[in-house]
Amino acid sequence: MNCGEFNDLLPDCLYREVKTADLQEVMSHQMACSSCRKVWEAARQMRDLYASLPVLSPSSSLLEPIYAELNRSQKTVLAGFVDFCRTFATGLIAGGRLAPALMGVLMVTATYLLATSVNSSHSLASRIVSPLTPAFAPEGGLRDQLFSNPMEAAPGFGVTAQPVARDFAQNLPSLRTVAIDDSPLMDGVLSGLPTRDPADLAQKFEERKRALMESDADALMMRGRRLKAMGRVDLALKDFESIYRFYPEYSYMGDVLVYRAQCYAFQGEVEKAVDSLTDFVKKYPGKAALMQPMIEELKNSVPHAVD
Amino acid sequence: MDYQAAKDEDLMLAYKEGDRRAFEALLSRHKQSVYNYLYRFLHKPEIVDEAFQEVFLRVLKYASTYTPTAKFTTWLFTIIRNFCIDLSRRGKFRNMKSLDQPAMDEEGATLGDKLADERPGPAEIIAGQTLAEKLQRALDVINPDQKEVFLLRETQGLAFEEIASVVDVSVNTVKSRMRYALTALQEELKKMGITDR
Repeated sequence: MNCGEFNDLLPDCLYREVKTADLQEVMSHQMACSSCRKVWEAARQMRDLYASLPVLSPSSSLLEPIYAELNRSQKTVLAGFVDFCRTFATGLIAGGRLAPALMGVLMVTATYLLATSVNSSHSLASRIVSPLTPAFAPEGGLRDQLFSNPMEAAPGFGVTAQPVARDFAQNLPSLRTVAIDDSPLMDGVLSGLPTRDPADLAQKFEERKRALMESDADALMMRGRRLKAMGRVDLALKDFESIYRFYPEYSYMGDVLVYRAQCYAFQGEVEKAVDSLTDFVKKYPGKAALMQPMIEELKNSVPHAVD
Repeated sequence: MDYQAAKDEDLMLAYKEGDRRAFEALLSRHKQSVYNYLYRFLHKPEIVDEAFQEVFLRVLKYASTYTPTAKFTTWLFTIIRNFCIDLSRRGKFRNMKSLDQPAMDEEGATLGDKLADERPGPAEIIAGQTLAEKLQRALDVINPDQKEVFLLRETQGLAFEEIASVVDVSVNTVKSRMRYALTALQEELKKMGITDR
């Protein structure tokens, strides 16, 4: 293999989209050719760097318009179905066939209900019949009923670690359901009633919990930074410690670890500062090269303080 | 239907049949990768949020036209790409001043440098700017076609052939762009003192 062929195969090898034999050839070539080895290492380093970037999550508020549109599109499906039934029945009635018309509508409705109930536990079917009589109202669809059993409203809630507010589940945007009696009947039923599927609720709960925890940690982070800037390193450290202990998934944990290390260093607790930076390196191995000199410097700042 | 285990294509077909939960599963599965792609590609939070919503609204709008001839992700990222092209044509995100654009009166400094809080953050104290910022800055500088291929590969894990379908060029062109992207990013980061250690 020559350098040109190596260059051609580089992307395939880098992303493992290549035959084993070709990969072996490329690896042998880069071992033998110093300039190609440099190219290979640089490309790999770039991938590692990119992999170390924080993963971002869209906020739950961004999803609300999408769910609203989803609701609207489902209403359109319902309207199409109703139109179909109406046309079907009108045609038969116009032909003087009242009994077949009624029978036809019932059969089409039954088929539709069966089909939709297979697809979804909280299907359009229940939404269609629920306005007809309260007896068919979706079980648990009313807010009071839904929240009468907290474990049902938010499965797993009881074992959730603090400090998430216990009653926040009642403010879940997707569960803000208006009681049927208080609203125009059809709109109330069709606009965002929750499903009773535990997995669905658990997922909504987890998403909301993550968003709230992120927001909590943001607040602590901001206060910690402000306190630190004011020179109250002792108080700032408490906030950074809280984030570290209670919000391990926080998006900006890297910054927290560095702030925490700074605070410990200010207080002369070099060992803890080093531990914090070491945690940083473990969490973001791609940035080890940046942190290592600082760790060494810290270790050397107090002779024999740290092994 | 097992929504967790179902393939993207099956979920999309189920949604076409009226299964709302199938779409919710798709959204849940892809929201993070789409958001990250848009964030890295556009790198303007106010536009990224709008773009994210618009992309999924378009998915809903065009769901009826979906046919499983290709992977769902290929279809999804074609929508994303078309949206980004629309955005570019409208000049919407180019009319806004980027905090990363060079300031006119200082060599090497950016508008963000001039507006930013002068107190150094922890990352600045220890290692200048964070690596993430520098890499994002490098991404902003390189050729958009190369950046697109790099991000589709790195953020989404699309195979070169899928990327070729999304971008509508040959597989060889995709690979070539990837090579150039890697080289260009290395050059930019080298200028910032990151790579070549």
